[in-house]
Amino acid sequence: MKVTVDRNICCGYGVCVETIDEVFAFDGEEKLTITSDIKLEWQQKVRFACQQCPSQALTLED
Amino acid sequence: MATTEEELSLEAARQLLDSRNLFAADPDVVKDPYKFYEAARTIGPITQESNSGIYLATRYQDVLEIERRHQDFSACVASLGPFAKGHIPERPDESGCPFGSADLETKVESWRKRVQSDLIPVLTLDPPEHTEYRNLLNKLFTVERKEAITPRLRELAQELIESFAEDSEVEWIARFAGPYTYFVMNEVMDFPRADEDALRRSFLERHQRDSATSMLSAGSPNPGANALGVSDERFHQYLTERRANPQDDVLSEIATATKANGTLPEIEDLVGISAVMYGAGQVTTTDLIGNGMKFLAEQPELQVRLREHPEELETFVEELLRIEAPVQGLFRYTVRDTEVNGTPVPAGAIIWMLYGAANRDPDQFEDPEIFNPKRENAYQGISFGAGRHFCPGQPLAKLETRITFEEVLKRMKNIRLKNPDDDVIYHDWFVVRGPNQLAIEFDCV
Repeated sequence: MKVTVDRNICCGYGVCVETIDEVFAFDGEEKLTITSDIKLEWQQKVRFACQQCPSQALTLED
Repeated sequence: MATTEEELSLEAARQLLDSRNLFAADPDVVKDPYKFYEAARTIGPITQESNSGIYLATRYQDVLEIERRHQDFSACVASLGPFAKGHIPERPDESGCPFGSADLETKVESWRKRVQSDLIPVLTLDPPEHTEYRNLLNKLFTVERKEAITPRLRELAQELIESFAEDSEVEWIARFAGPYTYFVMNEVMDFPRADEDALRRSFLERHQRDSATSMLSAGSPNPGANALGVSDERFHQYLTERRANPQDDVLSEIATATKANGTLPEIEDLVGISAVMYGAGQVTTTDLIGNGMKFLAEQPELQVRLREHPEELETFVEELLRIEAPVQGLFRYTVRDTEVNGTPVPAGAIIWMLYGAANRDPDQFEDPEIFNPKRENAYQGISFGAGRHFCPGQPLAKLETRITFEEVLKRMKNIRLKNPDDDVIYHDWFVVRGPNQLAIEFDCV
């Protein structure tokens, strides 16, 4: 599973970070960072985070 | 035969839904709104309530979709709902001009300007204005801030519990849920202590005056804004001070955040936003903590389990949010003829996105009416809304509730309802869900 963010669309709502902060985080400049190593047990929540993104900035590739 | 049975149950659902006005503080609806939502869902994905003409969205996927489609569904009536009726343009348009989309948008904009003072800030805005202001609220409860405030939140919970721990009984809402969310909000806003009591009094007075019954009798056009509107002058003063001398608190964050275009907003524009954060952050979390105690008091074995496994409180809180959404639903207004899930909805309609119903949609949650504190997908509930208007206070609400029950289980055991044979009386305003009072008994640990 791989997740990418379109930073031109991301408004920084932080819904994904709140859903699963093992995977999503804001760096010091408040840009969203995503871990490349998404463990199996996180996948359901990551899927939900992508679906919930208010600005629909997250793309999921299985 | 199957067809006949289905038709009969459809008819029964229609009869049940039509038998009550969902917006008139009817005791049967207040007691159990969920059976009316279920009736609406049985009738169809989007069902018109016959008393008010308001459309009810009761299915999980549909509520998510409406939240996302802001071009079709304006948030201008978000908290007004039925109170916008008779004020906002509706079909049939009495002026006789066609109800075309361009006409309607212009009319809605002029309506919005006219009733501005009654509309809750941010919550009722649509893009692009919404995006500008919402940007100010996205970073309020970061992981770092949550960690920083956790010890103080825990201390506040411990102090309150200690104040009644020796009594072996307590009225949970007045002695804990209400004051706790109030202390927490003052803490994150960091108000001067001397001002706190005055703020609380004014807040409570307004809130009581705006109970559904009094709003209906007074014909008030807008409950929400008044219930949440707290001492604008004070917020103006605080925000001005914090902009000049920022501290590490939420109010400073709002005062110094820049809009999407990099400019600082006018203080005037931030007053309403801060007041909403302050008020909404209290009433909703009070209900969440109130609902949580009711479930806990009814299930002694759950108390034992969670005391031994406090890490399971996270899912307990998620399930609590799912089964009793403190905000049962907010409203949208169709600016053009549209459809949801195949059901046509005309321009000028008000639609209620029922989080309380979506969270009990059997297509999304197995045995949805059962409280299951180990439910794997409990976190998928949409009690904080979705999309652009997703509640910015969500991280704080969850944190407060988790800390509350961690501390409760450390100090209280054998918790039970004091009057188990009496119905718990819930608020009679259709937007919110929480007990007015909750008397419990317990043993001190």
